[in-house]
Formats: sequence, structure tokens, C-alpha cells
Amino acid sequence: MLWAFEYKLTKCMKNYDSNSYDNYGLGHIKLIPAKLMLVLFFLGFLNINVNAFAQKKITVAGKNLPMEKVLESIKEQSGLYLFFIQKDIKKAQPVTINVKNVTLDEALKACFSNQPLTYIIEENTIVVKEKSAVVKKKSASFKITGMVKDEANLPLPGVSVRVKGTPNVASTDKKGKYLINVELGDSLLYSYIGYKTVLKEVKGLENIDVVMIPDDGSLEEVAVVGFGKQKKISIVGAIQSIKPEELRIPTSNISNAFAGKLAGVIAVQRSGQPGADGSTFFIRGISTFNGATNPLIILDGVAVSSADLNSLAPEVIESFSILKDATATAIYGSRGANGVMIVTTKSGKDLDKPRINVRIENSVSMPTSVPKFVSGTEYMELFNETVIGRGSTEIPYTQDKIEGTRANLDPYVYPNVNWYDAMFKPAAYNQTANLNVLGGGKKVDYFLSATFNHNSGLIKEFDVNTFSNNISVKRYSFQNNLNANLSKDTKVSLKLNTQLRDYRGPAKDAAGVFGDIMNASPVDFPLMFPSDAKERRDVLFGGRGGGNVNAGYLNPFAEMVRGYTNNFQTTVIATFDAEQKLNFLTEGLSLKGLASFKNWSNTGTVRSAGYNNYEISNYVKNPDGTYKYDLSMIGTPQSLALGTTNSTNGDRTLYFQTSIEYNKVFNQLHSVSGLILYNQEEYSLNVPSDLITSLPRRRQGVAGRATYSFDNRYLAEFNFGYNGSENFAKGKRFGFFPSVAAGYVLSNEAFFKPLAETINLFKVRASWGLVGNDQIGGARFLYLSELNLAGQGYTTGLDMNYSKSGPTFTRFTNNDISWEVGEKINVGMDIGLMNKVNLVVDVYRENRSGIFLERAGIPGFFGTDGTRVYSNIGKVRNQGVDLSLDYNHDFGNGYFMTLKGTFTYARNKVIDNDEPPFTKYKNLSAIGYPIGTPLGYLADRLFIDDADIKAHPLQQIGGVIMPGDIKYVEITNSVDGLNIINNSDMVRMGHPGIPEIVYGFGPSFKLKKFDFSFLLQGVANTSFFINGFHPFGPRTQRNVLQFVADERWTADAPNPFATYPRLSKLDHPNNTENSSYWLRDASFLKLRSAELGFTHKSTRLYLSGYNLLTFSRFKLWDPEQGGGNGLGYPNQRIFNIGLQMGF
Amino acid sequence: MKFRNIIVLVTGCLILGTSNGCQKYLDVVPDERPTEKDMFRDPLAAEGFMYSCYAAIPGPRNTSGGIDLLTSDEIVTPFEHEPASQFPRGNYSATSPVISYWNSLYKGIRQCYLMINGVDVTPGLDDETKTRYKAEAKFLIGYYHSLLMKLYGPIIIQRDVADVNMPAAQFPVRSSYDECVDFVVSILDEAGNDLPAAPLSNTELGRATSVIAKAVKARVLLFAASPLYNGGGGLKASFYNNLKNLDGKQLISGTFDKEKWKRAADAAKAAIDAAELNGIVLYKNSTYTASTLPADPIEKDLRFTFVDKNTNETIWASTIPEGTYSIQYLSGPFVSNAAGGAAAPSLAIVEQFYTVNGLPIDKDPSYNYANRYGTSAGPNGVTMNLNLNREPRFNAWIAYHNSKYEIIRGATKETVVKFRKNDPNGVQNRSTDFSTTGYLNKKGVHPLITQTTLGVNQHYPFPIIRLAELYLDYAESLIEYGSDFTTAKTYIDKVRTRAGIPTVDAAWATIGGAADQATLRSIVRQERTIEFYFEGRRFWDLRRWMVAEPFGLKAKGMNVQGITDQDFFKVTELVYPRAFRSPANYLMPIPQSEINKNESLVQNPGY
Repeated sequence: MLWAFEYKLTKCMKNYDSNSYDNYGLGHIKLIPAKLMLVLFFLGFLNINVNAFAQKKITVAGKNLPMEKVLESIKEQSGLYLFFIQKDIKKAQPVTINVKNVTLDEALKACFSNQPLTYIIEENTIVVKEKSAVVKKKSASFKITGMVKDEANLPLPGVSVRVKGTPNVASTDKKGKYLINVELGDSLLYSYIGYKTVLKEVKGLENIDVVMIPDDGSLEEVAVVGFGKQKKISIVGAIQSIKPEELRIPTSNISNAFAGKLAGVIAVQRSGQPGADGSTFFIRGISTFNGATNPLIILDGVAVSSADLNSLAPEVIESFSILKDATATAIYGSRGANGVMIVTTKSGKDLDKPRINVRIENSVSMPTSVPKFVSGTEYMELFNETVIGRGSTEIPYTQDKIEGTRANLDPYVYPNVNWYDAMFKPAAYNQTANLNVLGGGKKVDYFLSATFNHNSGLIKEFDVNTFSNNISVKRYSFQNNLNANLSKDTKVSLKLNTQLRDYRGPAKDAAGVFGDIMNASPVDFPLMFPSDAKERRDVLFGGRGGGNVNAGYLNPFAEMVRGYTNNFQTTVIATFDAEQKLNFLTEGLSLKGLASFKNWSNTGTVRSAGYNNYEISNYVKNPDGTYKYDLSMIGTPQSLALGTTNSTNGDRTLYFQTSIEYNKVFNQLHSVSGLILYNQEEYSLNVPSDLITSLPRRRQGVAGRATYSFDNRYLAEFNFGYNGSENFAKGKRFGFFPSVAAGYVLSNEAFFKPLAETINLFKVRASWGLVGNDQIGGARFLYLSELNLAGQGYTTGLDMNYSKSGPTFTRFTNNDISWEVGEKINVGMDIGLMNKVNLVVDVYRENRSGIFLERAGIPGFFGTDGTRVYSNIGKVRNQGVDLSLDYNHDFGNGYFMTLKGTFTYARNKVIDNDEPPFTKYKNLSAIGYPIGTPLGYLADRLFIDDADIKAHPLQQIGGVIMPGDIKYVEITNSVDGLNIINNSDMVRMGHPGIPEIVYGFGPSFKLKKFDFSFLLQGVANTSFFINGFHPFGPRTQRNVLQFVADERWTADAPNPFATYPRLSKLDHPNNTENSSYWLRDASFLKLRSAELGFTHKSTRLYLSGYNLLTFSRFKLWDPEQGGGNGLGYPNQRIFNIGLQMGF
Repeated sequence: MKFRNIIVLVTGCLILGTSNGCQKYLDVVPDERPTEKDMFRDPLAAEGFMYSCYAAIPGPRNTSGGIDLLTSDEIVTPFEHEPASQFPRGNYSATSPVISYWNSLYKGIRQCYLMINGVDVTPGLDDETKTRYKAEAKFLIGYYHSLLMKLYGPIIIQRDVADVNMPAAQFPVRSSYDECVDFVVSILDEAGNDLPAAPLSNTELGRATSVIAKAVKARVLLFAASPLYNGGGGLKASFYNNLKNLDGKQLISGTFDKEKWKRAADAAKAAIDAAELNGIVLYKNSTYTASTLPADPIEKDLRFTFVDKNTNETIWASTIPEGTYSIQYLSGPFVSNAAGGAAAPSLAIVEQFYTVNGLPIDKDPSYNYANRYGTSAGPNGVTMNLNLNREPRFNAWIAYHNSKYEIIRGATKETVVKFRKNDPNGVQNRSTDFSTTGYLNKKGVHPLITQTTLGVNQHYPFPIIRLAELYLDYAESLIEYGSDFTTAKTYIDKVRTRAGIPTVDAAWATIGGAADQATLRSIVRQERTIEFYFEGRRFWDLRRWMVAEPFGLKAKGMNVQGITDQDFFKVTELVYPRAFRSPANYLMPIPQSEINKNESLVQNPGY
């Protein structure tokens, strides 16, 4: 019992240290009293009989002893605790005492005679008081017990349970249980950092169980900031945190949960391919058109890749914060320009019994939507139509062939193949399991997690190979976090993260397998012909001669099954850090060090065999209606043995960081903190390809922070990063990135008190700062010239065999190249209403300058074609708003609801990009438009007839113009006098491919044992061109999408506003170049996720779904996949069943 | 562990980290990388640099990506997806020039100036070689400018290495065509002074000589005197009178200057003299004994004029080996994955070749012009009358239905080619590899090439300029100058005699002779068309003569969808669209991106 007691003290001491000293209002009490104060917290709970102590015999003797000493002695002998206030004890007179084997009471009486002080024994503590002080007497008190649990129904230890309006406080134990003395009319306040405070009326109940609901807006909450933590109330930067639980969705990538849940994050998922289905994401959109745009991701203090982030199980994450403005990111200097994501993994706790959690999920996934193709007969009719329409006398598909196909006479003589259905399954199955253990003691604690994840693909299995082609991604992820408290001031920890990823798939990349479908006609050949060959590999693949793939046409099925790939990736991240408090030097000072190593490696093997295609050389119809046919092989025979190619690559990062921190509160009002940090990083490729890539990438820097807050009302902060990068010439390597910020918490002002019930929080923030980006243009050492000494050459000689080569410049020297710098301004507001609504609004602007770009304005006659000339001259302005709102309501009796919504708007604008002056063709200029706003021709309608074409300016876009072709608007006739439509008539159109608006909203309900939640998420202000699906082609037989056939222009019924223009056998740029004709609004709203759960004790069973519904004006395929022809690996709709258990 | 020890440890790390990171931490690039200093570090590097100056020469036998060979109306290929096929269709514009040499030629020019400016520092390189290298660079500067002029007319003259930091306001503008000519002539003359007259060794073949410089100069002056640039062409030329810089400077002279022809004639004569002095002669009496075919010695001479790599006729050749998919692949009778059988001469070019008497088919009284599309028995089977009684150049260079193609096919050294649908060379179930016209090219195809697998196994340097061109340049200049028709005919006759047909006077005597300028003009032009069939001249010649409108007519050929001879021998218009926008298409469009970057650069009219 006593041991446990001691432990509690230590435990609370820890809390007390890590939080601000001042917030408990204990600044004037010395260490021992503080301990006692904490002891008081547990009095109610422990309920120790004082009488037992009172029986102990006490002996004290001495003359003019200090009161403190005498009391210490009594304390030692009685086993009781002692509580006094320093200023009181100073008033005590020297004590002369001589008692032997007396009771506690007698001893104390003797001690306090003739003193201005008195004492009481409250529970098991001797409390020293001034004589005048009135000690509150308890009356009609009784005991209440109960249990406090968290959302996941797990016991919550350390919750403070306080009788409202009194100092009477208890705390829950390791099992979440508490015990407290109350009076009848009392109310109990349950509070815990990061959770919403719960108020319960006692009403004579003897047992009150409470479920605590997390609260992002809590004043006590601590948020992770750059290189540290800060109390949320004192934060002045734009930082958003999200509970890891919210990142748990039924896909195997955390990043797929970002969209709509993190205000300020723009995220879209472009592919559903297992292992490559993470979202692309940006913090506050994009501010540069050439440098890196991805945020810096810090996992336990170390920069990692988005792939590393994706493979984290939500269970492993302790906290997840995104830093958006300069205050939050300047400290990262050259790396913080695009925002920072900080993820920390869980640590162990001092627990009686380790806490074990298990999650098992099984899901089925299927494409959200796939492009539809025409039937075989329709294909042939269209093909004939285009060829004959050209004036040729040839008839590619005879009427016999068309009718035979229509009548399904024979699957080989008259093939009619829906390649998509033939090659792919409607659904795939996936499994996930996570086991984690959290526990420890007071010296050492630990967190262990193991996650297994298996995703499979949509490729059908065929009995043509002994190997499987279907995609299978198995991921094993391990986390091991260990903390050791070497002394009360010294702590070391080791965090290990290991990921293994085992991929199997077709020899060709999966997206290519889907893409091939576009290039196969449905009627030219079947997948394969029946074969009676003994060996499985002697497959008679269908084919057609005359093409350009081994003298035939591509058979997508053969391409898919010709081989398979294995790929094994391992990632190990080890982080060791140590923390030493330097209180012996001065209070509040500490020293930290961190070293980490990350290694990623990848080994791949592609095994691929040749295949032989066959076509029917002649056939006869048998009397019974079956067909007999002969096959002939196309092209040269290919080797059917698997050939292999191997690849290895990888990288490693060594990181080192050390820092000195200082935290102190003066006079309860002035809270000061400081941080100075040095770091260095070295990144190397394990398999470099040349000299430049073999050189390590290095960075080093010093960062610092100073914060000041007055009475939690006035807040100020200064941050800086001073960073060096090897990427620049000497003298240009170091950059200084400062930021300043201020905040004002109006709701903590006295004059605000009357409003406190309605507006419980009102805080305004503003920040300004600079951030940098040294990852410019992807390449390295761009200040150096790049010279290929044998870049171009010539051959001479009668036998044409004397070859010599000379230099080619691919880049000129420019020693001025340096950082890209972003100047960021942020103004934000945090509002809490009625303790139910939390609103965070941030408005920002960033002026990114010095954007590194390849000079585009150098004309070709300079002779520098192929030589890149770089400069830091681009400018972009990015501005927007991000907003998050949540609303919580507790209906009582276990009914609870939360509503959350986020809105992110980020619009950038090109200010300077070294484009040509465009004084004439202003329409071509990208300046003033968002980055990536495409150029396209402005389509009017389709040409009606030859007269229409003649009367219209000449369209020099490509191809011979005929009726039914797209008619474009002449834009520049007034400036160049040319009656020609060419690419100077293009205009900027549409929105960028990366959406400017991302939003999400959704409620979650808790109805006793049931819970239900969903998220609606959408994007807006985004568009794309559709292309790459135009039928036929000169040497290909591209398939036809159904909408092309249905909505096309025809000579018989010419509709100048048809959705698809004149069909053409050849590629016809006039009709296929980017234009408003092919521009599509890519906005969508999705029922992104929904979940229904049932909880019994500490087990929860749930059904969840992902990408359940899509609402969009674009119907051909899932608009989130982007433009093109929709034939990538389709995005997946997932239905999931899961089980969570806690022990 | 005592916490103080840990402090020591951590502080130690801190100090270690910082000191390690002082200055050198970020110095990761070793000095030993290729830099500008290495460009001329020794004579070997200088030689490499000199070779790199040649790299911008467009390959004259580039079929799919070249602008010379498959772009006119000579050959119709079914390779409609290839860049060259966009030209007959008129599908080239400032937006999409399809094939543009603007950037690559100026890049070559820059490389040459870097050579001239830099070579002197090469340690160990003798002065004589330095001078020669610089002369080669000068020659190439002149040649590259001349190619730009061929494409774009008046161009920007580049006189040194351009400074990339030049403000846009100072960007140079186009010079007038005549200024460009003067610049090219002077730099070629300057180069010629320091170049050897002939390659000093066999390995040098392909590098510049003074004879080549003179030949290029002759070609430049021929173009300069031609109607397109010399006030000719009536209305059409006035179109170019309006090609002016923004300051009003006229770039192409609208007035005819007869003396330009004199200058061209003189240059051609000088080049001929220099060439002949150095042993360059027309290829006659072939000594290529490895092949006995073609059996007819004249045809053999014609077929081997330059596929015999030891030919003495070539003044300058491209010595870059032939790529896989070039003339020989495209022309050889179809072999799956080895020969495309798709270089199909159009009826228009077929009809250009003379009769066996050396006269145009519509002028030869002994030739039944009216019944030329009828059929009769040929030596290897029935064929169209048009294909019979033609001059040796036709037989040497063009294969028709039921004619012999001298090429190794299995054990045989020649094969009778057939082009009806489902014939080996006809339309089959192949998207592209067939003759679109019922004819197949033989020029440039080595009779000993074996096309069993993909790849070229008979190589020869491909002529950029051969002597016959200088002869015809000279004749044309004299005729246009109107001074010395006799000499002009002498030089045409040299070409005709080698081709096995009667002299001009002998042939024309039967139809009233050839004495006036107009007749002689048409004779020299047709001679040139025939002699340089499929050598990349016609696309440019018709332009400089300002008679390129026929490029817009649909090509004709046999009915290749015909299965029987009766169906096959029908003159049929091919489906392939064609367009020639007159007069805009006389010059190539400057890429629009260049116009955008340099706003004082004017575009050619009509683009």
C-alpha cells in the first residue's frame, strides 16, 4: 500500500514537472510541502484510519529546537504525513520538549504549546495552521466511489475528481477507480488533461461512473510544437492537433484520413493500387512551382517520408500536430516552408498491469467506379464508319464478322471481349491486425506495437502460370518505445520503428496493366485459345498480326500474365534521446540530446517471359454450328522462360540534435521559456548512380525559441532557424529565418468574466515570419555547372567508325543560387462557446520569393537549348483560410454527440515565373493565375459543314479539319492580325488539378453501447482535362468508351454540340488537344467514411466503410483519380468489419 | 549512471557535433568533377570538342524525323503517325512545327563559337591543327546558318557566343536574306582558306574540306538567286515583300537581280573545278564486283552511285551509320520485322522520269502517253504501260508490280515484287508495312543487303552533296542568267550520259530542240527532279522555284485494295490528305515559343 502511495507521488511529481509549475498556484510552497499537497489529493481515496497511527508511541526531547525539526521527528515516528506552509512555520518559537512513549496527540500538544500555531490531523496528515485560521469542518459527509473510463471504454487513471467549490480532490487509480467524501448537495468535477471536464451532481448516489470525452479545445491541453511541447492556451502559432483515433479509417494509409479532418491540409487520393494508395497532401496548398511542396514530416523528432507516415498504425500515435504558420515552422528553417507534421509515438506508463489492445479488421474493397467500353459489334460499326468515312475502299470489319459477333457464334472466331471484366475481379480482400502493449514501472516503461496488414489486388487468377500475378502487399510494422528514468532528473529513451513491406504483383506495373485495356480492340482476338498442350506455359494467346508489338497487336491479358514482380522493402528508424534536468544550476533548465538513424532499403526482382500470339488463319463452320479453325503464330517465336532483372536501392539518414531548454514562471504571472538547439543531418543513397548522387546530402542548423506570457493573457513568441545546406555555394549556404508572434486571450481578462459562461475562450493570434526551402528543383548543387564531357559527338570515316565526343553543358554555373524564402503572415482566432463549441479560424498569406526556376525566357537562338540556366527569381503568393469547428453535446445517460467540420481554402497566384513578356499574347501569361492552371483552346462548338470551316479562321492545331471537328474561338486576331488559330490562341482555363478547397464534416453519436459516425468530405475549385481515350489510332486499335459512342457527332445526324466530335481513325490533334471541350469540373462530395460500433465491456465490434458514395458532376470515373482516361488502378470503396479489444 | 556523467556525455556530443559541423560539414562536393577546364585539357579533348561541333548536322537519311526525305510528294508511306508524314498533310505550324531545327542548329552554332574562342588554350596542340579546327568550326557556322535560311528564309545571324543574361530588349532581330547570304559566304570563304582540299585520311571522311565549303557556298548562292528570294514568282513573291522587321526593314528583296544568278554560276563553277581537281567524278563503270546485279551496267552505275561506299562522286557525305528504321528498312520488300516495304513512290514522281529516249513521257512522240495506264505483258508478268520503255534511272530506282527488285532474299539475289492486296508486298492484315501506291523505292538500297532480321548490314555514307548536284546547279544558274546555254547543256548532258539517255540536244532534236530559256529551265528542273529523286531535294526545290502548289494535291497510285490485276491497275487517288498553303508554306514557321520570347522577332507570314 505504501509503495503504491509513494509511486503516486512520483507520478504526480512528474505531471507537476512537465506541466507548468505555476498553474497549480504552488509557486510559493517549497518542495516538501508540495509533496504534501499532492498527498492531500489522495486522502479520500486511501481512507487510512488515523487511529492506527495514533496508537504509535512517540519520543521527542530537546531544547530550543526548530519547530520544523520536531515535527519531522514526530512525522517519522508516527508514519503520518506533514503539511505546513513555509511562511507559517517561520512564525514558530523554538521548542523545548521532553516526551517519552506518549501518544501522537500528547506529543503534538506538547510541541504546540505556547505557539502561535495549531494543528489538526486530517486523515493521515498533520496539518499545521495559524491559530487564527478556521479549519473547515466536515458535516454529513459520505463516500462516493466510481470508475472513470475513456471513449474506448478503457479505465482512465489519474483523473482528478474534485468536489466543486472546495479543495476536496481525489484522483482515479490505475483501474480508473476513485473514492471521495462528499456532502449531499455537492457536485463532482472530473477533469483530465485533453478531455472535456464532466460535472455530475451527487444527488445521494453512491456510485458514479463517468466516461470522459476528449477535448481538443481544452485549456490544459498540451500540443506538440517544433522541438517541444507547449500548453495550448499559450500557443500563438497556427497549429492543429488531431487525435490519432480520428485517423483510424479502413484503408491502410493514414494519409487517406487527412482530407476533411485536418483544417489546412489539402489531400487527395489518386490511386487505389495496394501499396500505392496513399493520398498526396499539402499543408495550405502549394506555394512554389519548382521547389519541394511536400510538408516536413517529423516522427519522434526525426524527418521521415510520407511512406513511413502512411505505414504507422493509428494505435501507435500519441499525438499528431500540423504546424502551419511561420511561428510554428520557422524553427525548422530551411525545411519548414511547406508546413510541418509532427507525429509522436506512444510511451509506456507506470501501470499495475500492462494495457493490451488488439484490433483485427477484415475488409472487402471494390472500385468506386470504372470506365465503360462499347460492345464488340458497336466497336466494329464505329471502326468501319471512320475508315469508310475517310474515302477508303477497304472494309475492315465485314458484315459477316459483325453479325457473327452479334449472334455470339463462336468465342474464338467471333471474339467479343470485355477486357476489364475478363481480367479483373470485382472485389479484393484485405486484413489488418494490430497488437499493442503499454505498461511499465517507475524506472522503466514501454510501449510495444505490432501491426500486420495485407492488401490484395483486383487481378484475376488464371490457370496459365504456376505463379500468381495478383497484387499482394503484406506489411509488418513494429514499434518499440522504451523509457528509462535513470534518476529523478535523468531520462533516456529508445524508440525503434521497423517496417517490412513484401510486394508481389504483375511484371508490368499495376497501373500499366489497367492502362493496356485502352489499347485492345474487343473483337480482334480472345484472351487465349483453348490448348491441349501439356505444359501450362504453352498458352495460345490471342493476337492479330500487323501491329508493332512483335508484328502484332498488344494483348493486355498476355502482358498481365507474362511475369511477376517481388519487391521487399525494409525501414528501420532508431531514435535515442536523453534528457537531463539542470535544476542544480538553475531551476527550469534542462539539456536534451537526440540521435537517430534511419535506413530504407528495397530489393526488387522482376521475372518476365515472352509469349506467343496466335491468330486464326482460316476457319470452317461445322454442320453442327461449331467452328473449326487453324491458328498461326504471329511474329517471331518468343522465349517462354522467365528472365529476371533485379534492382536494389535505398537510403539512410543520420540525424543528431542537442538542445538546452529553460522554463520558468516568475511571480505566478510571468511565464518565460527558451530553447537553443543545434542539429545536423546526413542523408545518403545506398545505391548511388553517379558522383553527384553518391555525395551525402547534409544540413546543419541552429534553432531557437523564446516565449513570454503574462498571466495567460498576453502572449509573445520569437523563433528562429539558422540553417545551412550543402546545396548552395559557399557564402550562400546559411539562411536566417526568424518569426515573431503575439497572442491575446481576451477571455482571461477580468472584464470578460461576465461573458465567460457564453464565451469560455476567446483568443486572437497573429504571426509573421520567414521560412525557407532548400529542396529546389529536385536536383543538387545547382550552383555548379553541369558538363557532360562526352555529351555530343560525330562519327567520320569511310567505314563510319571513327567517333569522338565533346562537351555538352546541361547547366551553367550560378553561384548566386540560394534558398527559396517564404514570408508568412497568419492571423487566427480561437473561440470556445458554452463549453460546447470550439471554433478555430486562421487567415494567412504567404509570399514565396526566390523560387528557383529554369530560365524560360532565353530564346533558342542563344544556342542554349538543352542547357538549363537557373535562377532564384520566381514569386508566388498563397493565401487562404482554414477553419475547424466542433460541437459536443452530452445528453446524459450515455448519449453523446460530436459534430466536427473543417474547411480549407488555399489559393496561390503566380507573381513571377520568368515567362516571356507576353506583351502581345497576354492570354498566354501564367501570371496572376494559380500554379498549374492549364492552357487550353477555347472551344466554341463543332463545325457544321465545309462552308463553316472556310468562313472560320484557319485552325493550326493539327490534323485536317472536317465537319464535326471542334471549332475554336480565335482569341488573338486583334493583337497579331493573324486569321489563324494556333497555340497563341490558348487561354488559361479551369482550376488547378490540386483542389483549392477541401472540406469535411460529420457527426459521431454515442448511444450507450452503440456508436455511429460518418464523414462527408468534398473538394472544390479543381478541374482536369480528360484525354488519352480517343479511339483507334494509326497503328493501334484503341478501344472505345461507351460515352464516346453514345454522345458522338455523326455525319447522319450532325449535332454541333455533341459531347464527342467526329470520330477519326488517326490521331487528330485538333480534336484531342487540351481545350474547354475536354475540361471537366473535378469537384466532388463523398461519403468518405462511416462507422457503426457496438461496445461491450472493453470489446468493440464495428462495421465501417470508406469511399461509400460519390456525388459529382463528373460521371465517367471517380473524379478523385484525376484526369486522363480513368484507366489507372481504380480508387476503392471499402467495407470493413473490425474488432477492438482491450485487456 | 550518475546524472553528471550523462551531462558530460551529452555536452560531449554537443561539442563533437558542432566542431564536426564547423565549416567542412557542408563541403561534400569533391573538386575532381568535370568542369570547363576539361574541355580543352589536351589535344584529345580538343578533337572531341571539334567533333561535337558536327553533332548538329541533321541526318540526311532520317526518314521519320527528317524534314527532307518523306515530306514532299515523292514517297507516300502508310506511316501516318510519324512526324515527317505531317508535312504532306500541311500539318505544321508555328504552334507545332513538328520538325524544327531552330534550336538545334543555333545550339550547334554556339558550340562552334565556343570552339573558336577556346581551342587556343589547349596544351600540346599545334598551331596548324588549331587553325584547321577553327576553320572547321567556321565552316559549320556557315553551314548551320545556311540550313536555317533554307528553312526560315531570313534569320538571326549569330556572330559570337550569346550572353544568356542579355536583357530581352536587346535581343537581336532577323537580318535581311541578302545580309544572311553575305555572312554565310564570307565565313565559308574564310573557312575554305584554312581547310584541306580533301580528307587527309579515310577516317577523316565526313569532315569539312575547302571543296565542301565551296560546294555549300554554291548551294547557298543558288538558293539566293532562286525566285523565292529573288523577286520571282510574281504575285506570290509580293507576299514576302511584306516580311519586315518591326522597324520596317524589308527582309526579302522584291526585285529581281539577275546578277545573283551570275554569282551562283560562278560559285558553282568554282566548286566544280575544285572538286574535279581533287578527283571527284561522276560514278560510272561501276567496279563493285561483289554484286553482279543490276545486270544492266548503266542501271548498276545508277544504283551504286552512292551505295558503293568507294564512290568518287560524293563531295560531302553524312558518315553517321544508318539507323535501323531508315531508307533500307523502309524500302526493302516486306519481311516481317526486317523490311517494311513501305517507301512507295507516288504516281506524280513516277511520271516525272523520262522515257527511254530521255524525253518527258508527254513529249516523247514514240511513247503512247494516252494509253499509259493500259496494261501489257512486261518481262516478269503483266504490268502497266507506264512502267515500260522508261529511262534507266526509273528501272534502277523504282520497283513496280511484276518487276525485279535486286536484293538478297533467301538464296536469290533478286525478287519479283507484287503489290496487289494479299500479295507479299500488298495490303494484308498489316497496319503499315505495305506499299500505298503499288511501287517501291530501290534508291539507296544496297543490292547485297540481307534483311532476315532487324538491322542494317550494308552501310555506306549518305551524300549531303554530290558532284551531279553541282553540275545541275551550274547549268541552272547559267540558264537563268541567260548567257551560256551551251555550257549549261554540257553539264546537264554529263548527268544524262551517265544515266544512259541521249544528250539534251539529241533528245529534243526530234521535238523542236531546246534552245530557249523557258524550255531549258523546265529541262534542268526535271533533270534535277529525276536525278535527285528521294535524296531530299524536291521539298526545297519546288519551294525555291515557287511552284510547290502540287504538294497540296492528293497522291495517286495503283488501287492497292485490288486483288486481281484488272482491279489493281487502276489509277487511284490515295486517302491520305494533303495540303499546301500557298504562299505561307514556302517558308517554315519559326516556333511560336521563340516569337513569344523575343517579341522583336517577326514570324514568317501566314503563321
